[in-house]
Amino acid sequence: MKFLFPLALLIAVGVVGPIVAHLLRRRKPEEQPFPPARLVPTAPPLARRRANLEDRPLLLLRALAVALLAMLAASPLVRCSSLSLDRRGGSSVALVLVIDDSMSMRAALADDARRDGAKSRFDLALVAAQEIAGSLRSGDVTAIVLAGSPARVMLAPTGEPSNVRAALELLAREGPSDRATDLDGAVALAAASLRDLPHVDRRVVLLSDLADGNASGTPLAPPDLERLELAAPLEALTKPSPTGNADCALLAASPDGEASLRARVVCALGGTPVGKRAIEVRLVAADDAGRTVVGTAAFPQEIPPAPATFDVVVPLDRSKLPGASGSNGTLDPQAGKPTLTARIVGAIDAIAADDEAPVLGVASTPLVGVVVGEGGALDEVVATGGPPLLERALGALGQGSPAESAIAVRPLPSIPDRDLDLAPFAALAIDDPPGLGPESREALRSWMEQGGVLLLALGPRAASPPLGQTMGPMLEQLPKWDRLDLAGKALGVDPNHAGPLGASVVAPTDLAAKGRARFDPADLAHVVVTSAFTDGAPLLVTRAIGRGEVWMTTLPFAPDVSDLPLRPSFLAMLDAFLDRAEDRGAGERLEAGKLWLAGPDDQLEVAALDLAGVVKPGPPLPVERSKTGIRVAPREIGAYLVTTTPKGGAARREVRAVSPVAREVDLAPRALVDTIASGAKTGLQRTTKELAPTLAWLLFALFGGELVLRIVRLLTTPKDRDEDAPTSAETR
Amino acid sequence: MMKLSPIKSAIDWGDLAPLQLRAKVVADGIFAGSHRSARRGAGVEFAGHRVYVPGDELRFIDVRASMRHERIVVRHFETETERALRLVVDATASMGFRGKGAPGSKLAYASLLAAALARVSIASGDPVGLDFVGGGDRARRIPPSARSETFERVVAVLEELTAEGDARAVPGLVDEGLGIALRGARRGSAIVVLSDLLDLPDDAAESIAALGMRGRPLAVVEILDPIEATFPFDGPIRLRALESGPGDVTVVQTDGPGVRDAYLAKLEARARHFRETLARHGGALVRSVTTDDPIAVVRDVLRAIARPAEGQELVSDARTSVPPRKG
Repeated sequence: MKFLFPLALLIAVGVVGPIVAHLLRRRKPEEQPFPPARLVPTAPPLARRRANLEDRPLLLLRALAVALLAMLAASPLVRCSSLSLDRRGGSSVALVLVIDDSMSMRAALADDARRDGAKSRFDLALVAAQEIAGSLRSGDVTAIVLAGSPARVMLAPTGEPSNVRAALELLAREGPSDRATDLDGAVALAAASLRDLPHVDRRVVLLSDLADGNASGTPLAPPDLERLELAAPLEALTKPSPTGNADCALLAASPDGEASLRARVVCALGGTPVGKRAIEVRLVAADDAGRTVVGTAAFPQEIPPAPATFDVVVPLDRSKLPGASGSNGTLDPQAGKPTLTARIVGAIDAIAADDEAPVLGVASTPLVGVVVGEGGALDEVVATGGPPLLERALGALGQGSPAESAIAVRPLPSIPDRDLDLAPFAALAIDDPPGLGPESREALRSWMEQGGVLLLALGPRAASPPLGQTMGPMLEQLPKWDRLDLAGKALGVDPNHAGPLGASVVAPTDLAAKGRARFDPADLAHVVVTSAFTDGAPLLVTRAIGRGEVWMTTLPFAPDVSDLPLRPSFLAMLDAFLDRAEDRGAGERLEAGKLWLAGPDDQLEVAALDLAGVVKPGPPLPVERSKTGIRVAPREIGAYLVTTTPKGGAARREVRAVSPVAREVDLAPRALVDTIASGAKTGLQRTTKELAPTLAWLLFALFGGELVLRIVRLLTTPKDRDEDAPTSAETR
Repeated sequence: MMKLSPIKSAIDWGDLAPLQLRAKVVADGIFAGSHRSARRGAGVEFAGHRVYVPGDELRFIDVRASMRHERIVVRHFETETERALRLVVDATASMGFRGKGAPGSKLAYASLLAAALARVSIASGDPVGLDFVGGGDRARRIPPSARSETFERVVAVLEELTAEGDARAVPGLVDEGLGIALRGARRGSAIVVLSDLLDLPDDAAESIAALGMRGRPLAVVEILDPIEATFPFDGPIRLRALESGPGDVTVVQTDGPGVRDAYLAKLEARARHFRETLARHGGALVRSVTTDDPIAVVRDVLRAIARPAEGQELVSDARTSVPPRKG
């Protein structure tokens, strides 16, 4: 606390005034004329002591009033913990609030970090955002970017503070999501939002716990934008929760044979012991009455401190399972029977929301089929001395990170021509096929309409198929193969039109292509070019077919035709392809933040289910429509009822689950580069609040208190004495 | 509004002024209440017989009755002599006290009672005289007179009166005032003393009671301020007497609630002493507070001087019938 006029505190010496006056009054009471004074005895001391006691509250009130007056005159200023913009030279500010709404923000705050009713990290981030929004002035421009994966702009730059407040209120109502954290993407989005603004003072305020599962990775760096300041002012968000930062999440639970259940768990214990953690499987009825434990299995005692994924097999007590659903007990809202749910018990985690999951029918490992050009596979095997590059790349992506959900890659000798054969696959990659026969075309069409995602590389073989083979239903006309003679000129990926290949493109990179496929103009009208060559020709196009879609490249994946499979952007493209396959709902489980997609002409409705399979009250999840399709992004983990209605077809209802992202259990904060201001060094200041109004009100209350005290005394004094009580007497 | 002269403002009249009107109102109230005959007949009215005692005039011996009763009896007549009224007003300093809530000072109340009594007496054809204890130079005594203008003279003197004089500090102040009344009052004259009986010399009760000798009806009206009668002080106080003699305590520091009962007991003992002393000489004590209804007090006084009873204390009914005035 500081004082504007500290010398005024000397007024507080006046506190002795009422005391002295009181003492003086005691020594010499008021003298009054009274003719029969000779008849009045002198006072007994007892009565005087009683008078002292009666006056004590009044004395206290007056002493307090004098002390408050002194404080008021000194104009005290207190430094509050609320944040406000510290303006340099009074200029207006272009501000982006990056608010982390990922699952890690559900963790409880450390005890010393709680304020203004905030209990979780997300609460505190919102409080800080509202405080900063409260200090906005005319001329300031504010945007809000959410750092839950994928990072997204919640509020485009606006100069209207009421819009900012409304957006924050909406965010407060929605609460945090169960998404992963995408700090890099959020900061890049924030920088992009500020790029075109003319403000001199441009700032990005990061309200995040920085727990993006990349604690040991490269420190978070500010984007390369002139006059941009990145600040992370809330150090309290990175402090461990009261129960510690250890957390385990249940990624999936599915039947494993007739009498057991397999639960996939990811843990980031940070060196703390596993303890009594176990998986408990319960039978949940719709009326919430019959919750019976049907199996328990302890965690393995040796779990690496780093985030680790492992399976726990839980034997089930079949005698407790009802006959009708005893075989699997999976969630089926149409069956209306008790279902199984698994949860982590035995310890208090930092995040409780990710400890329970419904049991779904089959294991959810996405299966990817790989068909390497039926005619040319042998050539490539000879050239590389092992599996084809495509297969190896997909395999590497599926096993590269233990924290990520794995994928299974299965090589196929030929393109399946039956629905039954394609059904297990979430994605299919075909390298330069020599056309498709009628059976294969029909099987692929049906498979894609149900959500399958196809990666099709077009090469010289695709351009010259045998008679009767076509590329339908992906293309109406066969592509042309153009040989290229670049004479030393580089032909790479256009960095401004890189699409899924963009993350690792260093332009210009020569792909050393000896030729490339060319689409018929009629087919180009039906596809979306997502990546292009530096000369503008399409490199990667996509086309939605039913709930699935097809990705087509104009270069085959054989290294003797081009260097594409040797470039990092090839892996980036395959990674995006697998993500899309998962988004399209090929698997039963989806990571929070990912999308369920359907064709532009389809209907898609998603409703949340409780663990008993009953649809939760409230409207279905919002559906976003675009030219390429419709999509739904569930933000919380749990079970959902997905109803898909193809155009002209019958509705199909499926139970899907949204799982936590494995890396989100790691609550260790990511490091920041030194140029990012943190804590007290940010461009934000702690608000200085003047206490004078509060003191004035207190003083007013004291005067009111004295008045009340006097009235109470007046009312409690006997009436006969009060009426004649003289205050003065007159004589002549 | 016409500004009062310093003389007119000598007494703290409070709500009692103007005295003349108020006195007439009070006197009219007396007439209405008593229906008393205003005048006696000029002839001798036989009142009965009694046994002769030495000293009786021989001309009143009733020979026939003596022979019939075989003892000497004399005729007893109601006196036909005028019953003069001697008013003695205490105008010492303590009578100027007026506490908060009182309608006026004690001297103002005494003046009102005196003027009303004078009005009643003159209306009855009886002479009225006015004497003072204290009061300074303005306290001009008025010899007994039954003229109609006597009432105006009484009122005029009372209106100019001031509360002056210290009866405890000046020896003989009380005796001086009372002596004039004692010497000037004929046999049968009624004497009414109006005083607070405070701050008087210790032997004041005997001096006042002596006025009742020789068959003179005597009524002493004790006039107190409500504060003096109830002692309502709360908390520590310092009280200063208005009159004090040598050796008297002039200032008392005390605690109101703690000494209230003791004070009231002393006040009661003092009144009892006066009452008993007066009773021995055929006098009566009428106690009043300045908030009492003056009509009732005057009626009590008239009753006391008309037929005083031994040891009777008349307390005005007004104390219970008229609520105390609030300031």
